[in-house]
Amino acid sequence: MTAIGWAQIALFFLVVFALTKPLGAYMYRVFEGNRQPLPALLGPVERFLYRLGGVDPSREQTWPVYAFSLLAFSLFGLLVTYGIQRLQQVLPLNPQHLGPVEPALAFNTAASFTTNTNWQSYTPETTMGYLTQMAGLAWHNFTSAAVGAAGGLAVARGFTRTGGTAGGKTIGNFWVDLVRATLYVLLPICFVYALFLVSQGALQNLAPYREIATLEGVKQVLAMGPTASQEAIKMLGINGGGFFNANSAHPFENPTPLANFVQMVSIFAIPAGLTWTYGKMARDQRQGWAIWAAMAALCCAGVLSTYAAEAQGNPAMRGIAGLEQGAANLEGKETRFGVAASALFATVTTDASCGAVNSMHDSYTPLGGLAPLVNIQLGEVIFGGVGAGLYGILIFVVLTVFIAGLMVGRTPEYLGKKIEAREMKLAMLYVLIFPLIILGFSAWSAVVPYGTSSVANPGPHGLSEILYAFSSGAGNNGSAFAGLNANTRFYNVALGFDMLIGRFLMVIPVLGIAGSMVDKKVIPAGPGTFPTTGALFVGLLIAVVLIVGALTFFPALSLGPLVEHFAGRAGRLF
Amino acid sequence: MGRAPQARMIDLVLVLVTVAFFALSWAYVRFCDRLGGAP
Repeated sequence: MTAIGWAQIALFFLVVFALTKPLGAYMYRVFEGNRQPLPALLGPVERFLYRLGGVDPSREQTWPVYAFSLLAFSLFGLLVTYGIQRLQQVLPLNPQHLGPVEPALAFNTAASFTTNTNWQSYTPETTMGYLTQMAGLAWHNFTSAAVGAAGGLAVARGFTRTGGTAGGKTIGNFWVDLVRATLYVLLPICFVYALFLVSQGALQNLAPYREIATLEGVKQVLAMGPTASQEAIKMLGINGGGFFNANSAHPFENPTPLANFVQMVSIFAIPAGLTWTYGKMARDQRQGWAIWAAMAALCCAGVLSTYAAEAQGNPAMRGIAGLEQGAANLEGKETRFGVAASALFATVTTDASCGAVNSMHDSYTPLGGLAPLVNIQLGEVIFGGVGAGLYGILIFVVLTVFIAGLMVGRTPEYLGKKIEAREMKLAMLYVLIFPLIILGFSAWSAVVPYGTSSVANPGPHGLSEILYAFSSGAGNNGSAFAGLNANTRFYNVALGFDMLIGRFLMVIPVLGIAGSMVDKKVIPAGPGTFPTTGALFVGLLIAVVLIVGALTFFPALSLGPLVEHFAGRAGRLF
Repeated sequence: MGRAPQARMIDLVLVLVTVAFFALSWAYVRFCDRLGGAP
């Protein structure tokens, strides 16, 4: 571990901290304000979109209607993306004349991008034409992030409102949240962001692939395409699906260390800002900062453990002349980024359900790879996805105040609203479905020949590869441990449903809690009220997140990365 | 069965299964909405 490495990590947290309030205030104005930014430019576009969709923006929705709108929009987008992939050979903007995407792969990809996962079972530059990338996948990069933001805002309204506007049970209008998140937050920032990436050397064209001669005289095909514009929303929308197979390790996607730093910051920017927005909605900024602090502490722990493990390197390499690598593990890492920026990127991308990678997680040491896996398995609540991180952590807040209430024998309450049996039942549906699909699909894949035949590394590392794949899918992360050939009919379909269940069957009970909480009477805080803003609450929230994750996944983790770690120390590698 | 008809059949199955998943999701919404409180 080096001083410059620590300085990068410290600077990263400082910049994220500095961005939280301005971005949070901007989003509060967009989603809850009476006058949105740039009214002359974007106001007519917003009103046109409402007219086009027959939406009355002043009409709010109850939670079942909100959920129905979310489901209907997602189903429509999924089917259209499936169709574009299957018909890309007859559609324009396909200069490489790529053929139709195989059905199971097209389903997997459509499910993946609809759910903001961006798991990629394919090599983009040899599978997807430009139209598929721009109209099919980039569309979802914007809208799936906006759907997540809508979910987070709806839940925030459920907790913070003291009575809805129509009948007291409404949690906002899904279509308004969707349009505003896309139009006022994602599009303008991405426009500037893409220009920045172009200035750093990221590619942006519609040219056919180029054939060049290398210094050795070998011919090499260089993939081209509209990379920078896709890259911006890939990071800001916490999507993570790379334009190229190497993702953010590719110099056309992530050309410089500065671009790399900005990419990491942009992953956390919106989820961090949303904690401030939430505090403002709750009329108590300390509520938002308490959540921010818990997320930041968990992130720090992840960075520390990953960086420490990778800086120590592979014990099997020690003592072999010429393979010392300066003691650190540089396998699968870009030397232009180094160990610290790779470990930080791996932590940030798995904390925030992004899934972009600038190094290969499969090449990490067992403990270095354990941290990203655990980050995902904690439920993607460490800043998390756009909106999804906020509603995920709010479920853990509900669990925390419930546990605190049990400790002191009082009815748990949060923001003055009582947490009762119905909310706890819905919270349990949310908490239980996540490990159920990860462990269920992983167990299935680990015992059937069509599951194990895709595993490149037998033994505990192979189990880690399978576990990582289904964790990544269910957590809507999308990063891969690699080493697992997921482009088979079984894995494409299984991971497709893993992602769909991880997105929609988890957001539904959360919206149910929002609907249940929104019209509850607010009780003034008394001497027995458990404060949800102090260090005690932050510590308890962190403990609940860790305990729920550890209890559920520890047995599986002990058979994967933990066994591999101890076996590696004994000289056995997988 | 040729490759094209087989692919069309798989297309149909996948689309139907996807629609069925979202229909079940809507049923799940109704279930959650009717979920009661304490017995």
